[in-house]
Amino acid sequence: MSDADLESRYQRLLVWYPWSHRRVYEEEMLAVLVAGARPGQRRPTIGEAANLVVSGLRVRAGAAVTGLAGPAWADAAAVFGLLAAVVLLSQRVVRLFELAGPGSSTIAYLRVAGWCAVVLAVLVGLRRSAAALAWTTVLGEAVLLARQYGTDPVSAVHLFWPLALGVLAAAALTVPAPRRRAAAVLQAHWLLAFVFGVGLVQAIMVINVLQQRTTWSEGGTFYTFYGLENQSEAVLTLWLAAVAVGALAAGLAVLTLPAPVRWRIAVLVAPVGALAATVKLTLPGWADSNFHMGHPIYLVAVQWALLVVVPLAALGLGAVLVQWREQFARVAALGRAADRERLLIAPETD
Amino acid sequence: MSHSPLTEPTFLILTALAAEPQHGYGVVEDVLRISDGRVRLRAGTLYGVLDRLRADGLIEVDREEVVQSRLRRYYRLTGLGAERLAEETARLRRNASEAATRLRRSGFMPQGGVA
Repeated sequence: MSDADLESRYQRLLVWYPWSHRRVYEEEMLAVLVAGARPGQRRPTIGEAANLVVSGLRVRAGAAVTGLAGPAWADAAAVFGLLAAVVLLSQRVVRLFELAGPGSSTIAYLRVAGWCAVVLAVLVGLRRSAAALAWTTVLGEAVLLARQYGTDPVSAVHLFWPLALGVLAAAALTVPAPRRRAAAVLQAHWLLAFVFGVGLVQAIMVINVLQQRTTWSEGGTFYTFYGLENQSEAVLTLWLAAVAVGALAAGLAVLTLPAPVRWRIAVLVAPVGALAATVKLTLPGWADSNFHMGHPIYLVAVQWALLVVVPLAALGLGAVLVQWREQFARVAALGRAADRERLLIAPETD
Repeated sequence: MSHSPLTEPTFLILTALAAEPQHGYGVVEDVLRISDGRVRLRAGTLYGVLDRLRADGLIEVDREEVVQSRLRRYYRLTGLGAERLAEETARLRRNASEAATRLRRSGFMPQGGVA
């Protein structure tokens, strides 16, 4: 056992620090650790190990907070806030038609007005007003959902994900950003493509709802595909094609965003997806029980915990993965640059 | 502008660098001396504080040397760091003086102060 072994053990403990810190201090820290070791010491003491682990984690936490305050997250929050508001607005419009036609519910109109105001406020550059409007609308929707949960918990739970999307949109719009930043990052034509795409998909949903009323009253044969119904197979195919075009347009708008913004938007969407998946995968039995019992059965503490923990874990994990991915890309770029430099200094002869 | 109080390791590190530029292990040994053997800085704590002090502009790198194929980086106090240390010293002195005055008044400490 030699000093080199002790040093390599210290070095292994330094992996608790982020690369950005190790790059600057690793060599110095190793020198201090080795100089401070007792004669004949073979491995780090428990105190040294604990100090390095705790300090490393603290530096990592600090680096994560600094990263969250960076421009890429601010841009992603601005764009996500706008796109989520557009999606929620379109969804609320469809809901108007689902509620037996327009004019049926003042509250439904208020929800449309709320998200419409949010979208307009973002577009004209009133970010703070947009955030305030979003929080107000989300709060109102949460109250409505809580009331609905009291009488019909199953349908309320299935509406948790749009509420979560609303909360995330409101939170994203609260993040400080330059005026009209979302439109600038997204670019006008891609914003229009996204609005067109989402609008087209939702328009098909509205037409489908209106069509269903006729189909159900008239009876006869009809074709179905994941909730879309029509008496004509050709029309149904046309609808599916329209949905695909809409999804493609909306997807392309997001995919053309700069990679750091795009990945962060994916992270912001992750908790919503995780929530919807958790409801779908873990609560069908509970929904069945509600259906058969004839009276509401409410979620128990473990189920609530799952609905909170899983989306938060998805958000945290996503943020860490984005950080790792970018760190890896930075290291790879440095490696390539060093390799090029080496070739320039000593060109290969073969 | 009033700052939040410095932690003891931060105060002692700035004090160590107030005399002359020092490298990491030099700071560890000096802090041990300044604190009468009470504070032995560990590497994790030391470099956490040095990094923060550099980011805040209170210290800077004086020079780098390679000794026995190891990098040795010397740090020195900046003008801002000296100002901050002086401010903290005055604050601690005021607090200590006030505590001593009250202890003397209550009869817990002899008039001449502590030995």
